[in-house]
Order: sequence, then structure tokens, then C-alpha cells
Amino acid sequence: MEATLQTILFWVFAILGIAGGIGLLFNRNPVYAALSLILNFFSIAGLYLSLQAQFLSIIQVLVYAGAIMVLFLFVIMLLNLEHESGVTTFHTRRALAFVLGLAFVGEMLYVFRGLSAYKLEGSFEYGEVEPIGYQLMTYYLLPFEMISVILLAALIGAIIVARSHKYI
Amino acid sequence: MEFSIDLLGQSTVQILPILFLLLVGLALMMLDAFKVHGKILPILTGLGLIFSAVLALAYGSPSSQVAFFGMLETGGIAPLVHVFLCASGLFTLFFLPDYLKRYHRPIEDVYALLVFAVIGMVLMANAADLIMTFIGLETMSMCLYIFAAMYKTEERSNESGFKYFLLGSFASAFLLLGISLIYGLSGMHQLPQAKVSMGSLLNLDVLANTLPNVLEGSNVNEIIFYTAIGLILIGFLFKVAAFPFHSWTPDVYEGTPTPLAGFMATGGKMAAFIALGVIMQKLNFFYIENGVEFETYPKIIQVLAIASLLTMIYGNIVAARQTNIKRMLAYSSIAHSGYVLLGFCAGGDGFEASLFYLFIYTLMNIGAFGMVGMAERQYEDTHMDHWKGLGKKAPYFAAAMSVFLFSLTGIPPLAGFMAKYQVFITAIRADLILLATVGILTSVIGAYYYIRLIVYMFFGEEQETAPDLNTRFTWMPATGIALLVALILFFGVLPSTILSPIDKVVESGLGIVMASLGM
Amino acid sequence: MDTSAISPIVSYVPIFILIGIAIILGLLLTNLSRLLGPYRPSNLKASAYESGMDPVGSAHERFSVKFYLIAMLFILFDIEVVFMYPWAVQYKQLLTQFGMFPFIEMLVFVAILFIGYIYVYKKGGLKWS
Repeated sequence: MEATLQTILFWVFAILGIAGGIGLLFNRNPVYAALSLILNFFSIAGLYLSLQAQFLSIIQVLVYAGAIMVLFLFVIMLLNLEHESGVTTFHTRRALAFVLGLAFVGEMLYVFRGLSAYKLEGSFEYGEVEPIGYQLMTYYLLPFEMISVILLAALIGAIIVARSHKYI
Repeated sequence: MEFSIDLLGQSTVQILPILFLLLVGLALMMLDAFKVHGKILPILTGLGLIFSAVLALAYGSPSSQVAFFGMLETGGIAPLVHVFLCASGLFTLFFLPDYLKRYHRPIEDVYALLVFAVIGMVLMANAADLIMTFIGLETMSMCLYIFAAMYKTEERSNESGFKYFLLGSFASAFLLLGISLIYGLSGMHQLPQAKVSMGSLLNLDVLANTLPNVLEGSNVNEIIFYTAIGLILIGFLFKVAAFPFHSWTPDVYEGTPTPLAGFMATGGKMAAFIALGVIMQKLNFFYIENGVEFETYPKIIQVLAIASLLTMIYGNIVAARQTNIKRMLAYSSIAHSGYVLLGFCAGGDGFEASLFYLFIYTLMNIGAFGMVGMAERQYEDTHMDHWKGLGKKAPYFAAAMSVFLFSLTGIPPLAGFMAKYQVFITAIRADLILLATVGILTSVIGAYYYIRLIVYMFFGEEQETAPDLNTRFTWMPATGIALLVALILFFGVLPSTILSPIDKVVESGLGIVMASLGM
Repeated sequence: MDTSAISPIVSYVPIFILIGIAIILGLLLTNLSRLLGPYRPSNLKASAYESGMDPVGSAHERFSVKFYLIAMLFILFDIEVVFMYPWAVQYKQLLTQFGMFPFIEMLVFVAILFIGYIYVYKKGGLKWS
């Protein structure tokens, strides 16, 4: 029962994710494209959950679907892009990208052809939040504290690049 | 290493030099925020860097010693590397305040960023764990991106910032993917439950123990391992601007404030090179595949040798065609990466020769970039023609610049010669005759474009438009130039004063393998 | 119950159902009025009221860069929260094991970023004029 439920959920999220991706690519309106991307992010969060990576799933929603998308939408509004003019001319670069994309899909299909019945053994507690918190506060203490320095540098960068001229 | 509070306290004392730098950076931010401007910020930054270097020397031990449960190396080469990186920041500071003041908007936030960049470099170069390497690299890169994009009203600065950020984050992604693959491999022979309770699997010493077992008898794992190493190499070769990943360099250096471009080209490169060197030394192990014993180091070196060869040729040839001094120096910095890689390829003493080269290169290149910054009439105007006849107008300036350029060329009494000599001699000892020959030949091309500038200065027609450089010799750049020239002369005559400490710490700290390679 | 063999996603099913109901409800309420209400557009209805001016251009105006700065700062502090979350979840166990140290660890992290906050505040990053 649970196994089938899991399969159903996998397909739901997989299809929603791909639908979001296609929506992102084919929507001429950048705001709709960004909203499709949110759908895609949420579906990927669901897929993470089915892979027992709970923490990653929460972070996906919190950071990507939350903060990063806010920034995306701001950029779209900032640049005032309404409808991208329909580019229908045939570019060699576009053709090349298409061929490479197909090649990539074929490669993926080839690599994963035998993995349909692959099942991971054992329990995967380390995807949960608790072990991550424990490790972060003990063995990975120095990297954790040093991340604050990266954030500070980014903060200064945001102020330098985006502040108005008045406050210098 | 088991986690305990005692060890935590001990580790905190071990990283005191870095903590001190962090405090200096935070203090600089606060001073800037509360509008305490003027000369105090650069002086405070300089004193902080000097004091941190002194702390590192005082606290460092000659033997290898790790802090924070295998995250950071604080003994061995670490103190010396810390001093080198602080020196790179310090010498930049001599040129920075005047340069910033000459342009419309002095941005005082830059000093805190400089300190944070040094912290990132130290963390990256002295990392004993791949996670720490990545965090250090990101800290450094974040600061360098901002340097590149600092003058937001200048078109060229926008271009350089955007280019550097996009390409740099791409390279970081490659590096991270490589690290993830290594992580996957290192955990393969362990139960998932075991992962939860133990420390980092990405510690370089742990990896050197676990990876041979993983690689033995498994072809797939071997492929994954070399893929990971390749991805890690891409990440680092981008940061040091080696041949196939160099294309960002001239544009980014051109758009960056000139003294900071010098800092990027020296400190950033040095940190990335040292991190790469340490990773390569630590991941150098033997494994048995189908009854045949393999060593990882020679295989990695094959890639680096090709990169080195192409970098030396490309950098020098393209630099010879430049008419913009900043672009010329950028391409020549690509060429210098090739020489450092040549030292890496030599194995054995090569790492020491490379480290020596990097230090000397830092001295002369920061000097050269700093003086180009002094001579700029306005932002982005660094054409060679404006330098014609500077020898008569500003003889001291031209003389000091000539010292840096001669040293970059590798003319005997100067330190640049000793650095090149060390690299080439180790390469020849390791039977890398082809690479050494190419290195020497490309140095001749280097002589052409460096000395051309000197000829322009002393024998060119005087230009009306040349800036009055005598007024720009305030005490700060003057002290910096005098100091750098003195050091270049000193290390040129007595290279052993810095070479022997390098030899000592590398041998005792890294336990380098004397690889004899037949290529 | 041994949940180790099956994925934990199954235990999240109620949440998914909730999200599904929320989405359906949202779509229903926004579209119900259009389905049920009368819809008879005319030229007169679409024109400006009395002496009002005819609309010029699109309503999609450019945003000020201030919004952008706020969004960027929001992301930075959002990432801070990402690191607080596992700490908060594990805090009790860490407290019994190591005493006050986990608290101090997070305090250092937050203190460093608080200096960043003061910096942003003094630099006028949060000013709205």
C-alpha cells in the first residue's frame, strides 16, 4: 500500500516538475515563466522528500521557491520585460543546442536504462534535519562559522552595487 | 578525531591569527558604517594584517597540526602561507587608498572586503578538508567579484564584474561537483549509519586512506575518481587562469581597480595554487588494479603538464601583442601561471620551487600593477603610448617600474630570475626537458614585451598627455615601492633566506613524496 | 513502526492533500464569480469615468532599485535562517551533551551577521527615501 502510494507520489511530482520546466521554456511572459519555475521547484522539493532528503526538501522550498524566486520576480519587474518578442528565426546555435539537448537525453536514458529496479538499502537518517544539525554544530563548526563571513562579504557587495549615491 | 569541548578550545587558540583578521574585518565594517573615514582605515587594515602574520608565525608549529577536527591545517606550511597571503594584502594597501581617492567615489568598504578576501585565501590554502577548501574559495571569490564590479557607473567595471561572477560561479560549481563525487566514493565502503556518527569524510588524510581501497579492483570507481579529480582541476585552473580556462582574465583585470587587480592576480592565484598543490600531494596514493600497481600523482601531472605547456605559450604570445598595459600584465599573469604549473609537474622539490615563485611573483606583480594604477590618467586609460618618455618626466617612477619589469622578465640580480631559475632547474632534474625548454623560450618572448615598455619609457618621445607623476608620490605608495624594490633585490641576491624556510616547512609539514617521473 | 525501509514521503501525504485543497479552493474562488456572474462588456464600461483621462501606456511600471536591494538582503538573512533551522531542531540534544556551547556557537554566528545588519542600517540600505 505504502509502496504504491510512494510510486503515485513520485509520478505526480515528476510530471508536475516536467510541466513546470516546459512552462518555463515556452511561456512568452516572463512572469508566467517564473511562476512555472516555482512549480518546478516545489515538485523537486517533493522528489527530494521521496529520496529521504528532508532537510534538502525544506531548504528547496525556503530558499529557492521563497527567496530566490522573489529576486527573480524583482528582476523581471525591474527590467520591465513584458512579452519577449517572438524569435522564430532559425539559428544554427539554436539547432546545435537542440541536438546537444537530445544527445543529453539519450545519454541519460542509456545510463539509467537498467536502474529501474534499483533500490537503496538501509536507512537514510542522515537526510533528516537532526544529524545535519548535530554535524554542523560539532565537526563542521569552523565551516559553519565561516559561512557568516561569506554572507558578510555578499552583504557588503549588495550595498556597494545597489545602494543609491546619497549614502556613501 | 572525536568531538570534545577541550579540543574546541584548543582549536580556537590555533586559529587565533584568522580570528584576529576576522575581528579586524568586523571593526573596519563598523568604522566605515559610522563614517570614520580617512587614512585610519587603510592603516588599521595594514596593522591588522601585519599583526595577524606575526601571530601566525608565533603560534604555528613546524610539524603538521590540524584544528577543528581535521578542518584546517595550522602547522607545517600553514604559518608561512598565512604570512605570504597577508603580505599580498599588505602590499596592495600601499597603492589602494591613493588610487581610490583619485577616482570620483572612494569606496571605503573595500578595506573590510580585502581582509575578508585574505581570510578566504588563508582558509582555502590551509584547508585540510575539501569542505573547508570550498568555503575558503567562495569567501575569497565573493570578495573578488565585488572588487571586479566596484565602479558600478563604469561600463567596463560592469562587464568585468558580471563576467567574473558568472564564469567564476560556474567554475565553483565544477569544483563542487568534483568534491561531491569524491564524497560519494569515500562513503562507499561504509554503512550509511556509520556516516552519521563520525567526522568529515572529506578530510584529505581520511581520503588518502579510504580511496585506495575504494579504487582497488573497481574500474567504475576509478573512472569516477579521475572524473572528480578532473572537475576539481577545472575549478582550480579557472581560478589561477591557466590555459583553457583563462579567457576571463584580461577583461576582468581591465575592469577592476588596478591595485586590486594586482591583488587578484597574486593573492588569489597563490591561494588557489597552494590549495591545488596540497590536495594533489595528499591525494597521491598507490592502488592496485588487476594486479598492476598505479599511482595517482603521475596521471594528474600529465594533465597539468599539458595545461602548463599551453599556458606558457599562449600567455606569452598573446601578451606580446597587447598595447594596453593592464591587458599585457593580465596575459603575462596567465603566462606566469604556466611557470608555477611547471613547478607542480616536476614533483618532489617542484612544490617548493612553485611556492617560492608565487611569493616572488606576488612582490613584483603587485608592484607593477600598483604603479600602473598610479600612472593612470583616468579610469580604464592604460594605453602604452602614454608611457612614452616617462623616464625623463618622472625618473624615479620609471626606474622603479623598470625594476619590477626586469624582475618579471627574469633578469639576473633580481628575485624574478631566482624564481624562474628554481622552477626550471627542478623541471630539468625531473626530466621534463621539453617543458623546461618551452619555458625558457617563452621567457624570451616575455622579455620582448616587458622590455618594450622600458624602452618606451626611456627612449620614447615625451607625451603631452602624460600625467604629472611626481605629485602622486605620496608617502604611502612611495614606501610600498621602496619596500618592494628592496625585497626584490634582497631575495634576488639571497634567495636562500626565503627558500630554506619554505623547504623546511614543506618537507616537515607535507611529507612530500619524492616522485621521480619518467615522461 | 519500522519506517526505515520506506520513504518518509508517505507520512507527508496529509500535507500534500492540504496543499491540493488549498490550490483547488484558490482557483475555485477566483474563477467562481466569472462563471456565475453576468459578463456583458461594452465600450462605455471600458472607457474612463466622466472627465477622467484615457489611460496612457501599460500599468507595468519599472520598479525602483530599492526593492531589489531589499530582496537581496532578504536572501542573505534567509540563508542565515537555513542554518538556524537544523541547530534549533538539534538544540536540546546538543544542550544535554555539551552544555552551553551550541548556544555560544550560534551566538557567534548571529553576532557576526548582526554586525552586518548594523552596517546595512547605517549605510542606508534599509532607507526608503
